[in-house]
Amino acid sequence: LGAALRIQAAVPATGCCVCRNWISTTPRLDYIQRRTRLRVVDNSELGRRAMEAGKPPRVMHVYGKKLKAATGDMVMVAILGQKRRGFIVGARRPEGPLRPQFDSNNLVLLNDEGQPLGNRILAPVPSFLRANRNPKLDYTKLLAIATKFV
Amino acid sequence: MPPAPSAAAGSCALSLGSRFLFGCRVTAAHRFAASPVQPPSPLHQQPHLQPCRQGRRWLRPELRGVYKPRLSPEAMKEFWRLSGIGPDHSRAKAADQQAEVPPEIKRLYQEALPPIVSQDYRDPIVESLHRAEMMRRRRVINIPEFHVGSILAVSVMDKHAPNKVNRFVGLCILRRHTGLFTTFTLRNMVDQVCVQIEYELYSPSIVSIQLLKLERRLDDNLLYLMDAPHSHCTIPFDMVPEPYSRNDPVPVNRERVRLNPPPWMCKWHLHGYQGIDLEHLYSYLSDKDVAKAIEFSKAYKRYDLLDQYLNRVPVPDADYAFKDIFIQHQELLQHQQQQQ
Repeated sequence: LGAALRIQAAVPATGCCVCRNWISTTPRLDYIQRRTRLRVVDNSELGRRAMEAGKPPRVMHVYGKKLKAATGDMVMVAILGQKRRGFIVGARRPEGPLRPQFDSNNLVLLNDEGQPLGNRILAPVPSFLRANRNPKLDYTKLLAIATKFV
Repeated sequence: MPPAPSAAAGSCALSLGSRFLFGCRVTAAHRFAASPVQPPSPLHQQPHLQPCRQGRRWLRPELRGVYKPRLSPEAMKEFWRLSGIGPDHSRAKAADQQAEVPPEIKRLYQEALPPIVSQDYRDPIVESLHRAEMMRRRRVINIPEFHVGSILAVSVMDKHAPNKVNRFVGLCILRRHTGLFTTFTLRNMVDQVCVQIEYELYSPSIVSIQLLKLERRLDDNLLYLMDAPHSHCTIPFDMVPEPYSRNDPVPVNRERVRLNPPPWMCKWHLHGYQGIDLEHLYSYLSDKDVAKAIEFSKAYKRYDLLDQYLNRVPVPDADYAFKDIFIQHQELLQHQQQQQ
């Protein structure tokens, strides 16, 4: 096997997941829907405890009469046995030009009034969220506690 | 105030009566009557009515027969001159007679190559227009030469940002598409979180593209960095640009990245990446997967003529594209000198 490992790939590297080689590769399963686990990126006590315990929040419901959530959507999550609202500030799914794509699906926890539980967001937040366009939620306070916009 | 209708358009008595019988389609030929663009031959000066099933909306007589160009004739002429495919085809002829272009053009204008699609979906006029638009954009903004593996700083217009400009620094991991819709993706770690942003190279929203480090890697994309330690794509936002010389060959970074343990986002072992440490990669895989990876890397593909035919740009088309770009590149240099 040692000699085999030293074979250099003679074909030009195409490398993309969606490529012309017709290799059967499943695309990335990167939609945010029910049962999706998210990463809490604020400094709330509940979020910190959940991430440290290895029990990230799971999406229970996506607000807005749709099945898939993306950056800028409000979701209901189950976290440490509680139901909480959350706001998605970053997604793995690419959204097109000039919109950042993150390596994890980032969530900010909210209380029932729609105010953030923590007082700082530790991950960069996409700049297009500053348009404040969610019809279900006014997240101005959330933008105020963001530390960095990307 | 609309120009007065010509006698030819005014004498459409037949149309007034016959619109009640059936719909009439007035062909475009008679619309030249009152326009600055002259009709091609005298036969077209009479209005020509064709019966058609759908009746046209009835226009007021003073609006009928009037062709209103969106651009003034001078602007139109300037557009045809810059696009090079106007009636005199001057640039197309010059491109046919052009000798071999210098290699720096192929480095600087990689996106000028026509797309790799079947001939049914390729239109040389569209490609020529795209090239003209690309060069027009390059008069406004300086787009440097960069490859996958280079480090760039991009500023885009952002109405929500305090300075109305949003700057991002990152490593270029991907360059996709051709022509006017070329995109590139930058990756960086910001506050312990990795971010990837895709930019359209010729988007008017981009204020500036600054090259911080010119470099190439062993692969044509670095998507595997998503499963690599974050140290490989951490670039400081205040990085100082490194000087480079146009005449030197592009330095190649031959580092081999060690990926994180699986699960991975993609089956990296099946795509022939050179920039991954393969021994380290195969140590995570079962024997069956390693055999599959080695089977993939066998050299049988070089004998697949249809694969080569489908996945390469035809050489005459590539040559013509670069020659066309080279002529416009020289015009661009003259334009830049005049600006100074």
